Amino acid sequence: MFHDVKTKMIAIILFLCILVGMFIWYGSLSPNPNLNHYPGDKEIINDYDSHIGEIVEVGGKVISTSPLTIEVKYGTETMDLFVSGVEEETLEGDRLTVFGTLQEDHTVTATRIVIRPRINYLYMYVVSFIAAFWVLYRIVSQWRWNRTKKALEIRERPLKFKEVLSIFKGGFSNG
Amino acid sequence: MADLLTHVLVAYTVAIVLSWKFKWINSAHVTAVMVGSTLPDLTRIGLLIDPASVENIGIPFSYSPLHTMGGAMVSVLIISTLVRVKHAKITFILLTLGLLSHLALDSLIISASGHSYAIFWPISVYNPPTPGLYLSTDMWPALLAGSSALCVWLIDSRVHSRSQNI
Repeated sequence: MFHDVKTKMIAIILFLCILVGMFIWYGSLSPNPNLNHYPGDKEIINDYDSHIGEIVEVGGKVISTSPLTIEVKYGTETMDLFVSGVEEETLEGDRLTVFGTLQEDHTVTATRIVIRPRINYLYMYVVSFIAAFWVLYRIVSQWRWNRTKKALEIRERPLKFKEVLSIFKGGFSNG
Repeated sequence: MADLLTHVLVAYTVAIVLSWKFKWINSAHVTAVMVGSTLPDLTRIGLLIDPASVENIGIPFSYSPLHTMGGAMVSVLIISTLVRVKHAKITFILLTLGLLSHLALDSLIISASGHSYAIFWPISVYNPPTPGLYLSTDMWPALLAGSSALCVWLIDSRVHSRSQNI
């Protein structure tokens, strides 16, 4: 692709700029129900009143089951929303996503909901951590940073478990 | 998004099966597919730098592009550029394969609206319907993916008598 180090650096800076540009571009997009993109947590917290009567898709932790209340978060701001029209059983701490109509008085009438049990979140984080470690292990074992070429390359011989561990312990100082 | 383990296991399975057809795919290439399958979840960077705090200074901001075709392809380009020229093209293809497997799996997740997210952004902001096969917090996708990965690993190490580092 790019042969010399300088060109590579320019390319990476350019790609990073494109990525940041995409972050800003996407952040400026407004919901469009015609494209199945409905107002969500961010829009409701930023301007609740202008979305009253609209179909919304919001999510949050269940903070009370009677009446069913979820805490919607965006950044450091939170909003408690009552959820009506739900027959399924929920527990405090579960995560609820609600598709429904936004009403006055901080209420959303649910058309459909998705419940994610609290305990399953712990499971998800634990197995995701295991996966991240597995991938990191394989990268260190099979790829290396060539300091002369200033590039990643495939090792001629994959490192053994003990060798990978010693690199982890040495804070990758052995490359 | 499904749990990361499911994504990585599916990527591993796909890469090993492909290595039976394309003999040049080695262990390091399998790893590249697995890395590609983790890239869309770089949106987790939001746990470190909250997009809302960027918006508070008046700039619209979202990490969601990383979890779309467009943004994920840019992250693939960044990594491919970091790789030595002789490996770059193949790394690009393998990372892309991994990220496509991630986006394909996530397009099947149950959502309250019955629609997925803008997977094809920036080409389209359309949120396609999802068949709603599983929840991101379900345990069975990782079990199923783990069983498949174990099967292909066993076949690969016995039939092909090739040392595939787990």
